[in-house]
Amino acid sequence: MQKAYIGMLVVAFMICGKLGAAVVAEKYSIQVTVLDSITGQPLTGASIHIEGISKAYLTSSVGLVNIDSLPKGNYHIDVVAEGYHMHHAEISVRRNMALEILLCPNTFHLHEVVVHRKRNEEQATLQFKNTLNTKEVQANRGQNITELLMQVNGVSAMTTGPAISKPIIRGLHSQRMVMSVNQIRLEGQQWGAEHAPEIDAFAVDKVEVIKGASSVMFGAEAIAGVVKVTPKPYRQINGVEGALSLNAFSNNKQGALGLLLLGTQGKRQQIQWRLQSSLRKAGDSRAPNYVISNTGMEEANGSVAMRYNWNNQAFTEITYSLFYSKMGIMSASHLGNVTDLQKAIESSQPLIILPFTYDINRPYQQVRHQTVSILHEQKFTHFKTAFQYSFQLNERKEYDNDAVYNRTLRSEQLPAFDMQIATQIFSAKLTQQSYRKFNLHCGADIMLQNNSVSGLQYLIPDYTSFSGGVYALERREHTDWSLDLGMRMDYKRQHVTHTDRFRKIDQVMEFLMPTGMVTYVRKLSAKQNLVLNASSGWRAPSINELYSDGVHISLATYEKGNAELKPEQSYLFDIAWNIKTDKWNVELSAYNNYMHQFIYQLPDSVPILTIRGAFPLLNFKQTNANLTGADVTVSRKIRNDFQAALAYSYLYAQDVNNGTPLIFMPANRLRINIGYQKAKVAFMHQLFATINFTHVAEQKRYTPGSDYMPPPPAYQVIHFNSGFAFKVHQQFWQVSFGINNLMNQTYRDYMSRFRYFTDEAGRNFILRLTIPFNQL
Amino acid sequence: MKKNLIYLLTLVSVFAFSCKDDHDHDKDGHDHDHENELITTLRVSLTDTATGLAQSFTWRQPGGPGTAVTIDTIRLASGKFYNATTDVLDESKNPVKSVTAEIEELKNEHRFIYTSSTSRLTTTITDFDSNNPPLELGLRWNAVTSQSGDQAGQLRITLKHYSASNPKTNGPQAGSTDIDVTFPVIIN
Repeated sequence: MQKAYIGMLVVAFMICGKLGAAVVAEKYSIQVTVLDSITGQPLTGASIHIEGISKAYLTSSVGLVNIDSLPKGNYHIDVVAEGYHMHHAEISVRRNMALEILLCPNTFHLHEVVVHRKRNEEQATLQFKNTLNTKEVQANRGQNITELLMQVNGVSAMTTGPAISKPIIRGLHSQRMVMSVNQIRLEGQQWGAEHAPEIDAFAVDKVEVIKGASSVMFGAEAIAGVVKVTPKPYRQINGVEGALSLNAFSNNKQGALGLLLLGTQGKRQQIQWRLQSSLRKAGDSRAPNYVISNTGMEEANGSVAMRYNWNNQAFTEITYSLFYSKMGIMSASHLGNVTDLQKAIESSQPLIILPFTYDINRPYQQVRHQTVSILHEQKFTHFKTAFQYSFQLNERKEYDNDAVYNRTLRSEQLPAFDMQIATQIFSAKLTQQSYRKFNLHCGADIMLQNNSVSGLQYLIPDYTSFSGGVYALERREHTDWSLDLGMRMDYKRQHVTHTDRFRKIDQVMEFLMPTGMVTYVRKLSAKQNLVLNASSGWRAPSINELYSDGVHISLATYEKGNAELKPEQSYLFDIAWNIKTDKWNVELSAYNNYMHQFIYQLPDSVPILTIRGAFPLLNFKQTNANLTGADVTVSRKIRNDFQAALAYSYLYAQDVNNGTPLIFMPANRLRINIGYQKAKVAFMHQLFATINFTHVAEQKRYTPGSDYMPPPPAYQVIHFNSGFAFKVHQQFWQVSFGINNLMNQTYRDYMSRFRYFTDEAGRNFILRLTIPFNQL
Repeated sequence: MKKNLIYLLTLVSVFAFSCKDDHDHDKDGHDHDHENELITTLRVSLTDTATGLAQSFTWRQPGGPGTAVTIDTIRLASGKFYNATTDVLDESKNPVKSVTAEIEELKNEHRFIYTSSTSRLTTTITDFDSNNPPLELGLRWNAVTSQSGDQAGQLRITLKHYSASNPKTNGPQAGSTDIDVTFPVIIN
């Protein structure tokens, strides 16, 4: 497809004339690699213009170009590629060198272009970034996607035992975040704090965290931000390649296996396909002093994608994916009433400790998520269109601890909660390809959902919902600044029709809300950028906030929804500054997120009485809140092969109306990485070793009495990771060895929903091996 | 350009068609037949062994958790010996369902605990499970009222539920709580 452009450009440059007269001076050659900043894929046919030289250079099919005979000196270069923002850089040529240039696609998100010497690229695993590339994903792949996301500064995890974990971005999570997998917004029962995202950690090739309201691009709910997961890109040339990944974790005796196959066929590479599958099995996790019983899990996933390239201008892609997971929930966390909970809290260790097992007993969750999609993209002279339809079916079953009394019910082994949500999304996009300094991006989305519940207990009602949105984004670009403007309008209609023995709900809700964003990026110098961003976002109250009505077993609370809730709105102002020099890389980002009608749970003064005893009643209320914070990362190269990096994230969350702290907000977190990297030592290539020291402060901002126990004290953990690649039959096998919680530290984390019952998992030896193969 | 326009129009019409089509999903065909059994009621029946007079008292929440509760006051006479039984019912269903027999059947997984706040009332469990040595079950018990101690007090009745991972042999305080109710007691 890119061949046409190469042709066009080659013709264009032939007209341009030949290289200026040679100067008699010291001459050097530079090797430039141009990559897509998100996928890391090489860009073919990108042109490199050097100021004062009337010739342009085009990158090869592997994104590479050699520029010979450059006299010593400083040069301004521009790198241009179709569908990407132009990049300007200043380079100093003093010796032969290799440069790597990452171009940012015209897809309107807020990460700057990165240029660095290739040497630095090897150190990428040590830095704290918002985007994790293939290599970083491979070296940090954990037991779930959240462990991977925690590499990003400002992201923390909310856990429900070792098997269930979901990300928190700048204090917000669940229904306030959008997760996009292969450009499809993941739709399940994401409102639940103990509902982990249905994403196979092995299907992740690159991941990007966009912090802050991204509602204009991603629709309502993207108040906290967006997690964008990208699978492995297709193979560009004919043939088949693949990789087998094996991961082992000692703490819960976990084994995981992932297989990936990519193929391309046809005279003009018309058919491109990807096949991926993975299996995972883990037993009980272990805290330093005991087994955390019934925290095993198993996963079986698979996906297939096929793309047909009609011609250079159009392609159609069909995908299917299946995620299946069964996760044990710590036995000691399922309680009858408050008395049981108090007893569990008073005990220094879980009340149920059994020998290690791979068995998953009640209580447990079982989730199956399937997605099919069809995408058609067509390029025109000055714009590109994309149409996508996707269907997702999320089936979630939660099994209770308590066996029921009734013989028939008991024999049927029914789940307590059985929720099925079907989502159809139709989206249409139009992207203008950098035409006369204008970049317009507009589109429309329609989402239809049908939720149906059964199971033994009531949690949320049946409903159907329709939402539709239209948006437009415009980017204006100059050499040293760019301005993005975006507007969006969303409509949502939700119809709840639920009848059971105890309730009859028939309610229609409608919402119509605008959102907007403006981003100004200023290049202060070749090394410094300033980014100013103001954005708004909103979300309709989620189904549980409106209609939940029942006892929350592991928290021994009675949660009561409020059908009167209004939409929640976010007004975010974000300022970021970064500087990159040979030695230093500093990024400062500060934000204030004002949340109008922030939905939260307020304990009622009168408990609710049930035959199981009295439970604290939690009502959903609204207030105005302010989330103020900063994310700071500083990294410094000490020597060519040593680097130190520091990341700090700070959050101050306040209920403005009541003048009280917002509860259940992550504590401030400091991380320090010290790393060693070497391109080659004996047979080992790309050798690295890092020590990570994490300090999590005590969350002092909470109202005494608002929780069963005060937030746990501050803690420190040390992680170690290392790895290298080695050559086997012309292929680089990658091996990585890590130790999480190196000192086998005993600690509890405030964002763990099981902090009342158990310590976090202890020392964990991790072994990862990736075996690539080519041309089967 | 014209071709492009046609192309766009075609896709727009597909788009419009899809919306219409999808609206048919707007139906609620789901039934909620598998409603869980609901424990609404705990009933204690006491028979005066001397006179044969039987009385029963209930703790009742027929609408399910969070709804209105009616609690009888257990009124007994001093200096008596009562044979007592406890029943657990689901009164939200018609006919009323009793789960007493099922508790009896799963006796190794259950245990009632009776706690009186007044020394004027003492209770003794008289039925046992099949553990060796046998452990108390508590569907059948005795109540003895004396002449001394507070006349007014409370009787708290707890039903514990044990599982394989948290067995009854771990002691009365193991397990999770299925029922935890408190009756006012007056002994004249």
